[in-house]
Amino acid sequence: MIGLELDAVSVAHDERTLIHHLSFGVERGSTTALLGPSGVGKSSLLRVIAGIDRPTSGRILLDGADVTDAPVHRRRIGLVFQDNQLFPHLSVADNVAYGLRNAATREARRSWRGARTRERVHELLSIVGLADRGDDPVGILSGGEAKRVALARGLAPTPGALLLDEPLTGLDRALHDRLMEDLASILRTTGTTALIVTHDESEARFLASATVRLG
Amino acid sequence: MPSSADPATAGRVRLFAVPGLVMVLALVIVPVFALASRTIDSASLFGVWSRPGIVDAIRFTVAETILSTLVTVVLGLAPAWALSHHSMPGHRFALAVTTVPFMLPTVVVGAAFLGLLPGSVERGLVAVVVAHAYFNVAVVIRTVAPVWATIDPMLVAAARNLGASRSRAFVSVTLPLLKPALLSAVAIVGFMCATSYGVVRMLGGGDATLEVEVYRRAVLFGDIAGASTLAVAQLVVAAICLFVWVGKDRVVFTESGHRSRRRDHPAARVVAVIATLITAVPIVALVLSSIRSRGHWTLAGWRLLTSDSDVPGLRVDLPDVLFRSLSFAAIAAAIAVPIGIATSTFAAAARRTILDRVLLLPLGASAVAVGLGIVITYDSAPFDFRSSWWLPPVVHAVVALPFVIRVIQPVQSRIPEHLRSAAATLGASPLRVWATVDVPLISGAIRTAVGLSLAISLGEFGATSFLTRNDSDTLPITVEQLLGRSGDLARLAGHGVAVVLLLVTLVALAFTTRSRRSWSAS
Repeated sequence: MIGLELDAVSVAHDERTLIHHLSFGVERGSTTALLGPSGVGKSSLLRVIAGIDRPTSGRILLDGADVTDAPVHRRRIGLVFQDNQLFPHLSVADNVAYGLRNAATREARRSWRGARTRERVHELLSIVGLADRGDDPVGILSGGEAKRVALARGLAPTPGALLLDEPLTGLDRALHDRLMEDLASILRTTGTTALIVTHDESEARFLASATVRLG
Repeated sequence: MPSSADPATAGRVRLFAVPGLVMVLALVIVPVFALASRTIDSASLFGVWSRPGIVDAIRFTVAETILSTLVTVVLGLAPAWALSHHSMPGHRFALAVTTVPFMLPTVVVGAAFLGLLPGSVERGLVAVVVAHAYFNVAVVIRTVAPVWATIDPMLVAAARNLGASRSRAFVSVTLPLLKPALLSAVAIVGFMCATSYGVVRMLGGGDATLEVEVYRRAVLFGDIAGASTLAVAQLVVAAICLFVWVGKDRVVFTESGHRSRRRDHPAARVVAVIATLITAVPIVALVLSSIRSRGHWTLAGWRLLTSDSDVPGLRVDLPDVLFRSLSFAAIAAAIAVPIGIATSTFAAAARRTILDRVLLLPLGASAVAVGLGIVITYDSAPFDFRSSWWLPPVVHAVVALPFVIRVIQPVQSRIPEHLRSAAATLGASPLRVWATVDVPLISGAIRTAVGLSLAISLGEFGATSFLTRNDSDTLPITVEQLLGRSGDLARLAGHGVAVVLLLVTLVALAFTTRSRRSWSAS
């Protein structure tokens, strides 16, 4: 069954069309890689799917429901930014808990009160291997650790789909390989529907069961 | 010069702090404490608080400070947001225009609101709060906007992506990141409002801040001991606040520093245009008040100012007053800027020291207390300076000094040390390094400091009201005297002099806006 689907989506940036009538689907619980050279519009497409920007045309569907016009905070499509975008004023644990404490609906926020949030944060920090770093400020994290926190934060609210914008860029070779293995395992374990942007063929082959090429 | 690795250079750098320290010591600390020791006794120390008017003054000071600060910060947030997200042509113009009120002489702002506000609220708490908000919104804009501009919009997008609504994202991400800048703005605005003098004297009506009460006690009631007690109490409280605030290393009124994360936003354009127009309204009202009386256009006020008047009590020699104000401003800038450069050079080398905070004391000292203190302290030979022509501009220089330091020092502190090291390895002596590396890189800030000192001197009112004689009035004193008299002609002429003061201040401030492209390290 298709989890995330794009139907003839077009994307423009600064009045220039980057992507024209793109259609593809990501199987529920699987990972698809979005491949293409720099400047082809991969990151812009992720922002459109996440709901930060709007497409010029086309539809975006999540588990069969049209979410094209849904506001970003109610869309349930998570995005792990290329530069992490961790909240500098919050600790590691508070960053991971952000999506639980600030969920779009009052019921969701209420359901995540107190111990349940702490348990969920601990669970995710354990998955990304940072269980003992919850109280640390994010400013002292290394590049790899920050990426793990961003991943845990994206996974915490259990999004319908998770978009990852070049999650392994900027890491040294050893860390890159280690994190790539961890990422594949985490996405498999959590059964997340994921779309990963990369320009590295070997990374795409390792992480994804399907690929979409742009440009 | 700031690199002070060898002891000889370090010793020379310490000397750079001496002129500023001597000035603050001689013209702020000594006069205020001499005033206290000569006039305060145990009776006044404990008795003054029960005298009529004091409790009212304290109550009014607290009320207007809280209200003014609240209104100013709330009103300042929208233009701060607009000017931090705004990149259309005219951005710099809007920023310059919205900054102008903060630089305007208090009597000009007072006169402008007297001409603008309806009679029912022309004087009193509402008028004071409105004028303070107008005066200080620039502080919020200049303190908050540069920080807001550095908040990556993608950080807010990340919050929204995690489920936060627009308002939740603002409260949970933007606001905490703005907190240090907002606290700084609250501290500066609160401080300015609590020690307000010119605006309250013109618009307060029967109400007075402690600062105005000091003046009233000293000049109107002859209660020098009571005035001194209040002035010293205010100085002590202000000094404690200042030391705590500087100690926390707050964001300060920022000269530049907008980063390139600005994105154009249609709503930002609208807010920026509205803020610019609102800023212009009191200024336009001031000009109109000088040519309009009881529904009729008239040039009577300007005629009075430009010809020899035979109206009793209304003779104003405008060219003479203008020349005196300009001379005082030039002298004040000529003193404050070199001393400010020297002090900044010292501070850049020594980093933060107790001296750094002492040199900020004129910010916290009551201008009225300083003026009164100088008159009382320097009253006998060989230090009888009370009627010396040079005393007002020197005092203006002391008042301007903390601002000059605050403009130059941050720029000088950001000069990468390796630039100085490079010059030194090429054979430049410490003095030559300073002259060829530091000075060119802070030239923009120096120019800003010149404009700022000229504007501060031109508008200085509190201390000057004690230091000038009838034949040596400045523009702000003349405005206050004319507007304090009854009759339409006096009011027209008062607004006319305020317009002249506004124009010369704007010319001086042209220095400030033209130097915005000064160097800044990333």
